[in-house]
Amino acid sequence: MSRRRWLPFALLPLLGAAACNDPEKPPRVSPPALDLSAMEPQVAARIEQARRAVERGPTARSWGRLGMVFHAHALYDQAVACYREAAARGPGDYRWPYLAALALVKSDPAAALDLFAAAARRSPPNAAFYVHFGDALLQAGEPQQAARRYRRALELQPEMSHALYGLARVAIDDGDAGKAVGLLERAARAAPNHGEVHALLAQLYGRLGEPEQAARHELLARAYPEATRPRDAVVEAMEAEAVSSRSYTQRGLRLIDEGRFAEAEETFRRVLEIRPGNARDHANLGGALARQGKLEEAIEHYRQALALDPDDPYAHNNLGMALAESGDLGAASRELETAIRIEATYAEAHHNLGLVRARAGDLEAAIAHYRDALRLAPSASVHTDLGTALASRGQLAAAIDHWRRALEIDPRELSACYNLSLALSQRGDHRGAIDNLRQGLAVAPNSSRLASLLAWELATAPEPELRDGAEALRLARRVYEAYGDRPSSFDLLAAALAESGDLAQAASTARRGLELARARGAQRLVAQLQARLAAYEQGRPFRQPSAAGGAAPARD
Amino acid sequence: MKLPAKVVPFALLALAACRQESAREPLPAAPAAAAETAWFEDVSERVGLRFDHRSGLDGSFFFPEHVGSGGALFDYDGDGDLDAYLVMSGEHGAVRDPSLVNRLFRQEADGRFVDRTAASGLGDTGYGMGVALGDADGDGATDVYVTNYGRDAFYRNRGDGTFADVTAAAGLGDERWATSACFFDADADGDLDLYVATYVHHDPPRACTDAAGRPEYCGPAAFRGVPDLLYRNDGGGGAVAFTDVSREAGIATRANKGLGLACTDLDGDHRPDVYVANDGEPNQLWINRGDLRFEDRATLLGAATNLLGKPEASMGVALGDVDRDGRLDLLLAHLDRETNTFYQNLGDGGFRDATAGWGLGAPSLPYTGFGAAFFDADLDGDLDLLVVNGRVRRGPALAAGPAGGDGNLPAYWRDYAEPNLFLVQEDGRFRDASAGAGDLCRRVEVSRGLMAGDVDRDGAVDVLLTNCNGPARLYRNRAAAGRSWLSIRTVDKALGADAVGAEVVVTAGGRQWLLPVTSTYGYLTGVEPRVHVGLGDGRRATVAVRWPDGHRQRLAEVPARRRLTLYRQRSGRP
Repeated sequence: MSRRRWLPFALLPLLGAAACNDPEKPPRVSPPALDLSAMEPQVAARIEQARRAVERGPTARSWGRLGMVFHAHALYDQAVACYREAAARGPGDYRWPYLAALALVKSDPAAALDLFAAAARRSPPNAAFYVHFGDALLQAGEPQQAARRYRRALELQPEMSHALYGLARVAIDDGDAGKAVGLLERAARAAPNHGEVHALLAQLYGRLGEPEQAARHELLARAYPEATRPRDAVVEAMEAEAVSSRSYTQRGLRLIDEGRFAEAEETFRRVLEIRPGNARDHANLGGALARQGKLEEAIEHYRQALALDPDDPYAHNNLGMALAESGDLGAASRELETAIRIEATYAEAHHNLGLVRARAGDLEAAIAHYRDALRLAPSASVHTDLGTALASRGQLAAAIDHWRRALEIDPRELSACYNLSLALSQRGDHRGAIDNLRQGLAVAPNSSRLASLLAWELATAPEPELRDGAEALRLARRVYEAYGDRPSSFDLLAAALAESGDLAQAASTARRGLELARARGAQRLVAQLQARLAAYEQGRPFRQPSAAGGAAPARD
Repeated sequence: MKLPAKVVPFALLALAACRQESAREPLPAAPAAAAETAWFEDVSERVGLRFDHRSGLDGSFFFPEHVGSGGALFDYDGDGDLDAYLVMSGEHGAVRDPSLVNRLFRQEADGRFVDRTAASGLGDTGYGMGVALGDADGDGATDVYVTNYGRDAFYRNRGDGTFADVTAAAGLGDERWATSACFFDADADGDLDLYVATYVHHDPPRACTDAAGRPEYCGPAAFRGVPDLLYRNDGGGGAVAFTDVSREAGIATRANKGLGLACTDLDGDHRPDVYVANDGEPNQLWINRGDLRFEDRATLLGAATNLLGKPEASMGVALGDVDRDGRLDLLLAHLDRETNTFYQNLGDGGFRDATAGWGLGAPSLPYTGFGAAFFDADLDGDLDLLVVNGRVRRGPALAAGPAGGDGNLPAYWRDYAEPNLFLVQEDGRFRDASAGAGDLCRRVEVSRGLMAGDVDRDGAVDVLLTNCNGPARLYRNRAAAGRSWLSIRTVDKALGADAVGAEVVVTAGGRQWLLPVTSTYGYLTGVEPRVHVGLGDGRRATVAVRWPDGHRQRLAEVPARRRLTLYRQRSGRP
């Protein structure tokens, strides 16, 4: 490894400028030669296409794209050679030395640092670039230099968790654990699912003698085990050039995580076109289909997966859930039990079997499976479902504990937030319910369920100091705009109007809700609305009782 | 492992309490043409150590065929010198070559190795991975546990140069894909328990490709991890019996992808812990809480992921008190495009990734490291580092490998072979000394296991390495001539066994070394539980031992250049 080897690179822009001024001039170098014969045909075709583009017009763009195609297929040496040519022809564009640095940083970090520096001179407006530059410096043992780049990243993107993490590492290197904790807490607030942040916080809190905090963050680190990286449009553009079956599979799984199921389906279909007969590919496609509600097709692909690989617990698990969705709970249980028999530590299968048993009315079995799942891996959703099952059995205190633990793991676990708030309200802890709902809405501001419950609490809580008619009305109107066809929306809006002092409008709104509820035959709701309407007609807003057992908002 | 600030008065051992072992005949002389000044010299051919590993390469990219195999370097027959046990993978098709079995080589008095496989009964036929060593029945002879892709096997050493397969009778023989394993006294009851690292739930039909769509070996991400195994030794009265306590101990709650192991005290409480190198996932540090309860505290102690919080493809684990602060540090061997990572033990503060500061990062980036060992190659008093390498995904050819009868071999070696990496510690940093290591780092092979030990009993640490689909190689250390050393074995006669888990502290010339007594480090390998320390120019040393039961002994004014066996005293003195 030698820095000298890369020094000429800094001069290339000057040379490249000359080449650019003479478009008739043939390329100084040919695109890198490579044996394409063993590659998947579409990969070879993509490389050939990009190579021909260079031969037709050796511009910075064509060289850079060829570099990206190589890079996306992990052909790093060829990628770096192309990026060199691109940088020579496009001296103002930071992307080429940046991408070359990324291609080299894991094999020749000294050369990569030179390239990062060359790219930095082009003032990239890209926070991720500075994080990568900082990381390379940190790994090279230059923490203070790294800190400069992390700070630059934060100028471009305030509260960027990866930059804060890097600065925390530098603070630890300086012996300032307290400062590191402060930076990491900021990172955790900005990106609650950044597992590396929680892991380092766990370590620091342990060292600082705060075992509860350490344990909490260790739990969160285990809940978010995937390595993270900063979003970066330049890198994503490069990765979009990948067309191998492996890259499609990875992309499809990422799309599933992002909730883009139709795109994931299309991606997995392409994988099956490239390499038909792979069990896991069928299972992946089944997953994308099931998440779109295309259950029959999903089940067919899961069955194909199992025909190819009968011992794949992943396919058994997913088939089980698709069968459960289609209503066949017996068959679903059998598939999930098979998954667990093959892989006893498969926490997700235990969770799913618990869900199926709960749906079948067997709460005891469901709770046992949820507990098995939690023994194997921390999970917010399992805590939520266990809490719900316990609440159904009347064990509200235990349920509240599990919902709290769910929210510790994932503040975005909205079902836990809603259930916990409702349970607190019913126990007379309206302040706790309101605080919890505010935290939930801070994480998920568009949640109508949380907004609805918060509006109800703000309009009807027995303690005057907790009520806020104006905010309740604002939230209730938001819910009404989204769900104006539901009697419960009228009930909520009426309560908020009453708390705001507009009792006439409240009564009118409650009457409309009552009509709608009657039309739907919702007898319980009719009774609730009648009682509230009576209060409004008597000039009184509706109030929940001050003791435990408060009136819940209406449900459709 | 922090040494106590105040030293408890040790029993001063009479010289009678230790035994100086006999010197031995020198190795057969090297041919004149081979006389060069490299640190290491390949003596495999000269001493008759001929073992050619095969794993059934058939072009199908069968995942297990490039994971193994390892071996063991230990004295199986109690004659005082090291013998070699080398693991064979064999073939994975329906028809298997019956000659492809694990092989035991006995070292004769003249230093030559003779194949004693058939006579010993140690020719395990499983698709072999690694070896764990330990005197499980306390009869003074080292027993052998073989990890396989498939059913593991346990061989009881009868003490007469032969072994009996007692797998079933001992309650062992799990079928999951096991890799490294170690014997250690997990519950402090005086006998050796067994930890077995397991890799993944392998799914043979799966076909994998590289990023360009070319057929390639699958990586660990293609498969699910499986929980490791912990067996409690419930034997007694000459019987060997193990009970699977993985669930009660907490081990079974984590499905992981374990490869390398270190089984020793890492948090300073004198209970042996277990460090598991996981492939592509955070590593585990199972802290021993007593009563056979373990808790994974790798994340809390900073030993799970690297400086950037990223899990790496951990394979082998090297173990040693590199900075001589009385605590054991760890080095994890990793994939190319990852550094090998050095976890420096800070004591109560846990570990920190100190790779860059020790100069261990950049030299390792081009290589995929497997076996790894800290040892003092030049006996100057500082630990040096050897990592043996070999790719798991194809890369540019570096050199042609050895020819073989298998038609798939040339392509395999062209695409996967790499040189090894040897680094020497100087002034608190490691310097790449591969160029001076001779064939050890000049050859381009697909190396996996690494075992260090003084094979020729000249006081310098030699190395035995295994290659995937290639020959095992024994390299004699020629770098330490004239330097002082001590080689110490610790034995508790009451238990009839080596004191695995003992801690030896050697002091000489104002320097102090902590040396753990263990038979496991690296990757898929077992070694004699003997400690070896370079004293530089020191002539005499003080040797202190903390035995696994807490008893302490001290031996002063020990002359250098000695091989000693220390026996635990039970005379009633403190």
